[in-house]
Amino acid sequence: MNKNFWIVEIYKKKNFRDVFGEDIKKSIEELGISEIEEVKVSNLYKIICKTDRENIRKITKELFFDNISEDFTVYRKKKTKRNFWIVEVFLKEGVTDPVGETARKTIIESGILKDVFVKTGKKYYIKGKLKENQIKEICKKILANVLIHDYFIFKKKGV
Amino acid sequence: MSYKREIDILNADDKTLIEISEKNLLSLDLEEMKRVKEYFLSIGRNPTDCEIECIAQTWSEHCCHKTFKANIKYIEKINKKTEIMNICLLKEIMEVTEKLNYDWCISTFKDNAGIIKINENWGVAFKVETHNHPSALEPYGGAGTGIGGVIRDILGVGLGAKPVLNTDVFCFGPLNYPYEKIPEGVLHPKRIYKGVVSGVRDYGNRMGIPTGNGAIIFDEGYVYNCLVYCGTAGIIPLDKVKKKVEEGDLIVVIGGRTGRDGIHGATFSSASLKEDIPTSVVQIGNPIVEKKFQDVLLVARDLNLYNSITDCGAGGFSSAIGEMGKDIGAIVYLDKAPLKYQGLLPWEIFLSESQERMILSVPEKNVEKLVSLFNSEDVEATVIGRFVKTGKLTVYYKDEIVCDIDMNFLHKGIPDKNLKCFFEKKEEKSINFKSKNLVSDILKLLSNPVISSKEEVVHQYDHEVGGRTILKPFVGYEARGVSDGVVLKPFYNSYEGIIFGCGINPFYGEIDPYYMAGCCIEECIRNIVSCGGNPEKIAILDNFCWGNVSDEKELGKLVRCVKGCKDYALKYKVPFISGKDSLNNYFRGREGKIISIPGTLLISGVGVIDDVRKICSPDFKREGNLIFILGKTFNELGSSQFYRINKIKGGIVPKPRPEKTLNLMKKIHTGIKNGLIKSCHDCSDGGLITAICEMMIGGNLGCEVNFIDVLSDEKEIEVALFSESCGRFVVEIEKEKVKEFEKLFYDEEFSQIGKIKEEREIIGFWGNKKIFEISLALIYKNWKSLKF
Repeated sequence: MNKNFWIVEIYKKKNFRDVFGEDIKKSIEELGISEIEEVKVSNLYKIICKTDRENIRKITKELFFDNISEDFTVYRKKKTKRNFWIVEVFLKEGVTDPVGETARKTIIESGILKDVFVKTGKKYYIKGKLKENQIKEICKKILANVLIHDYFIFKKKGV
Repeated sequence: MSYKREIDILNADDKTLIEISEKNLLSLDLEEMKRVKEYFLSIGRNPTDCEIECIAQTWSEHCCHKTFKANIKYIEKINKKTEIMNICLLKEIMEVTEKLNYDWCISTFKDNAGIIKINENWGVAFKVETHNHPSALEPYGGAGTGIGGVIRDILGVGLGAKPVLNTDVFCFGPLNYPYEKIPEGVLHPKRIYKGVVSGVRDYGNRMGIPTGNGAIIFDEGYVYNCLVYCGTAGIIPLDKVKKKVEEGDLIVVIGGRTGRDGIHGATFSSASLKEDIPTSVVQIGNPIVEKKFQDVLLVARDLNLYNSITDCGAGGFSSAIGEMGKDIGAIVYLDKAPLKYQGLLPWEIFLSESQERMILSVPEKNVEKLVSLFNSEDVEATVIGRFVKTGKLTVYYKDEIVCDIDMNFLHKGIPDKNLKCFFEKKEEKSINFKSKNLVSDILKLLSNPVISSKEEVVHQYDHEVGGRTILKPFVGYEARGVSDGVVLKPFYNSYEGIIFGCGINPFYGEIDPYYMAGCCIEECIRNIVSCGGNPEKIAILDNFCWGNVSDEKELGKLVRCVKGCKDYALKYKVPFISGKDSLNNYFRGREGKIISIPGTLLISGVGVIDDVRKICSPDFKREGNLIFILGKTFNELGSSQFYRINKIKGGIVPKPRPEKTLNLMKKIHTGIKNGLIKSCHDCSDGGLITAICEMMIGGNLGCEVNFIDVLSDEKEIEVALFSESCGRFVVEIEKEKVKEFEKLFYDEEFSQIGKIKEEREIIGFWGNKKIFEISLALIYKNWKSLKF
């Protein structure tokens, strides 16, 4: 994997409703999984380019996020103590990513970077006493379409 | 280094030919493979990968409509009476238009869409497409690109029409279908539903085109294969209808770049869905790209910068360029095509179905101006070849010829198909099923997903953008009621209008597809007429979605349905202007079990009126007004929603009666124009009671109805309330205008059945006996109960 990349994660501020997450939670319950407590969703931009963190922060502030309802973090590899499951979903290699392509063009037009490649994805924080096979089922049936998506599961601590 | 691969078919025997077809996903049968071999024997070489792929997609069911062009030997056995005939489905449909021969039909069946005249200067183009297979696999992308594709059809009709309306009709499995019954690789109906609706919403809304008309059907038959019909209508100046590629014109591609998306889409959509599918067939849409070139394209059109245009749909460049240059010949330089990423093989570039691309045929003197015009709006326009009088399709990649075939063979070489099929039917018998509890049956009917409110879906679509929508999908009090169709006012300086409606009812097809066709055609016309349309100026589109047509029984149903289309279209005097078929909508499970969809016909209609101020909506307007039913009711409850909720099969299916209805509809048109009819709603799914309830919801008013007054030979409560007989309308008339109304309709069948009142409830009588009483609040609650 290319090491010259940054991941920008954009999420809703605490006092704003995460409607998308609520909808996912409802869908999981409809699957018959009642152990679910909460789902939160953030948008991911994987920015593939040689540059420093400050530049990426600048790009994000200028182009990607809404200061009023959203917050963001920039990282390469995130290590957190956690008591929930994390699922990341990205489009497969070769599948057209219109949002990523538009983001790429916008970054270049902004003049901050000369050359860049952007992939978009989603990150799901899933709270609840769930087993790994349940998470897999959720990924396949709700979060990702395996035909066009790759998904990565990050285990809850202690599983 | 060579960029092509030779495919050895000269030395292949029959078995190997089939293997080649299957291995390369060509979907060609043995006869066709043999014809390909014959051709290449005659020119003394093997085909390249690019050539064989190009032939496969040009000859695919999707592009070539083999079944509709085939000679079919059809055996019909009805009530022991047998009839044998030879039939060609496409000819049957086109015969209607030829026989009616209206001068207001400007372009039918030859271009990307059909066009009818609005006035001396303008026409309206209308096209409905299906995008079933892609939507079953990736609902969001599939439905989005379905809409994107049909919009490009409208942009590519004549020299380009301006899209003004989208229509959508979906068929899904039941949303509460048990998860454990869904096999691996098939998405749950709920997920398909969510994806499809948001795909249509996002594409349509971002393109700035209102989505105004549609329907949603739920049935277990659609669990494995959903149906997604996307339609677009556009307005076009009549002097821009003709297009002709001139010799020497340059081939210019505009819009998006080419990637590996959707390779084999055309051949794939002609096959059945299996459990293992390659990623590459999925298409992802990018509406922003399409919106940009839509705007600038119409500017280029008005500057007369190009001679012809078509969209890159199924089959990509190969199909678009092959089709445009079929009478001349074309030379294409594939390495000039802008790519999304490197590493594509020539045949992949040629066949790719990447979205948002169109092909223009541009005279050399205009190219510079055209390219700079497009670039000024941030749209890529690239010359990739030239139409040259060679009679061949010649494709270069760098210095190598990767494809060189005769246009004549490509477009006319396909072997004629001979098929046979049969249709069998026993006499329809009436079932006298009695309702045990009228109130609960009525409420069940209203909460049945086929009938209940689809507001949650429809309100996700923008149906007013552009400011042309006069009659919207929701009407009346708090915009609660549903309208029968949508009315647009396309020009700011004139009151002329266009009306759209649709008819679909796959349930009748279980009993007889012939009458299903008739009922769908009539429902479509009824919808347009009850909005104020003129029944003498309506054109319709046919969209067939059928199951496994290699099964003689399924094909027999299709033929029977087409026969119905022809007969009833002629009787109602409505021409077909365009159509499309999507066959082989079936699923093959791991054990080889084949599950076909119910044969489904969608009839979409467009009508033209002189004055949008003289239209009508179906919501009740004022208390004290009288309710009339126009048309006669028969004991036709077969496959009705009332029988479906009570799980009753069989019965007598509704039969259209054009001799009576056509006249009646002409009078309704006059009545609405004169302001005599205050509200008008057609009786279809769910019968009279559903129609009345919908009118109450729209008006937020109540009514008293005596169902014994419903004109019918059989005085039965179930027949009066729930029968879905064709040719019926419910209308509201002011007391003081009853005389005038009776005078206008003097030779028609009609009766007064009730009165509108302020108390928000419906009280049903049967003579002197009160048979039910339901509050409007309860009706509304049940009608709104579908939770997505």
